[in-house]
Amino acid sequence: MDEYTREPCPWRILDDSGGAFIMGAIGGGIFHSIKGFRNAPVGFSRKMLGSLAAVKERSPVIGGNFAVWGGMFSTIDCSLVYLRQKEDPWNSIMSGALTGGILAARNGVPAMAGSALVGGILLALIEGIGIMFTRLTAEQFKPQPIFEDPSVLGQNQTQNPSFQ
Amino acid sequence: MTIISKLLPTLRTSGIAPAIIQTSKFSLPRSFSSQKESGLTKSQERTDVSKDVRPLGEKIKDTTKTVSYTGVILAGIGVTGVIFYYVFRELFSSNSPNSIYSAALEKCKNDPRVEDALGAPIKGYGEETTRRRRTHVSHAIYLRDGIQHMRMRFYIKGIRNKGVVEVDMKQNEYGNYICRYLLVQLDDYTGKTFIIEDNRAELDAKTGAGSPFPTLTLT
Repeated sequence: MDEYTREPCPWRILDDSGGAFIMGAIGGGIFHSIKGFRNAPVGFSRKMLGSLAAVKERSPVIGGNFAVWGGMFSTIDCSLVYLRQKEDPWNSIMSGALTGGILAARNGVPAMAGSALVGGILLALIEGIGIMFTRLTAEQFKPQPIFEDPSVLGQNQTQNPSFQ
Repeated sequence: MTIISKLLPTLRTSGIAPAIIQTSKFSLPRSFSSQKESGLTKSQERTDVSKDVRPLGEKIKDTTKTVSYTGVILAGIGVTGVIFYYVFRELFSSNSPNSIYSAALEKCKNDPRVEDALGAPIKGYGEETTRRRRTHVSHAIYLRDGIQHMRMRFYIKGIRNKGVVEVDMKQNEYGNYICRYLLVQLDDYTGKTFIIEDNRAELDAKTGAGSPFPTLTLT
C-alpha cells in the first residue's frame, strides 16, 4: 500500500465509464463492420462502404450503452462501499444486479427482475473468475515459506514475505 | 414408360427385357380389400423399412454437429459451474478468506482503542488492483507443524488515520479457522500497534507438539 494514492472511489466512476465506452465502441465496431459488410450490395467497394457506414452509425451508440452501464455500475458500487464501509465481492454483485434492474426500469417490473438477475449472475461470474485466478496463482507457489511470528507483535509486519 | 419403350429395342437383345416390362407394368402398389363386408381396408405397408433414407455422409455430418454442439454446451455449463463453486465457497463458507476478513474487520471496528485512534466510521479494504478495485484481500495459507494456518493482511481507514490489520488464523481439529492473533498497526510515523486478540499461548499449548513459542512482550 502506498501512501500517496487517493481514494479510488468517486474517480473510479469516470474511469469505468470511459473504459466501458472504449470496450463497447471497439466491440460494436467489429460487430457492425462485419454486419454492414454482409448486408451491403454486391461489389467489394460497396461492401466496404456499407461496413464503414454501419460502424459510423452504430458503434458510438453501443459504446454509449456500455458507458451508461459502466458508469451506473460504478456509481452504485461506490455508494455501496460508502454505505457498507467495506470493500468485498458482495458490493460488485449487488451493484451489478441493481444496475441491471435500474436500467430496465422503463420496461416494467418483470423485465427489471430478469435484467437484475442477469446482471447479478454476470458480475458474480466476473468476481468468480477473479477469485479463481488468485486461487490458482496461489497454488502455483505451493512450497511456501513458513512465516515467523513477530516476536514482538507489531514490530516486523513490513518485512513479511509476499502475500498472494 | 416412354423411356423404357425407347430403350426396348436395345434391351430386347439381351434377355432381361421381359422382366423389366413386367415390373414396370405392375410397379404401382395396389391395395385389395381382403374382406367383402367393409369396402375399404388399409393397405398393408411394410413397417420394417426405414424412412430415413439420407446418404451416410450426411448422417455422419449431422451426428458430428450434434455431438460437437452438445460438447460446447456441456463445457460451458461445466466452466460456469466451476466459477460458481468458487464464488459460493468464497462468499458463504465460514472458512473462506472473505468471511475471515469480514469477521476480523468487525472486531477491529468494535475495538474502542482502534476507533479512538482512527476516527469513527472505519472502512476496510484490500489490495488495490489496476481496475481500482480493492476487494482482493491478500492472504497466504501455510503449514506449520502439519497444521494449516492462514495469514492475512488488509487495511482500515477512519476519518483521521489509517492502519494495517494483520491476522493469523489456525485450523483446529474440525478444520475451522481459529484466530491466533489479530493486530492493528497505525500507518503513520508512530506505527503504534493495537493487539486486539492474541490466543497464541492457548492455541499453541493445546496442540502440545509445537515449537516453543516466542516470548510475548505485548507493547
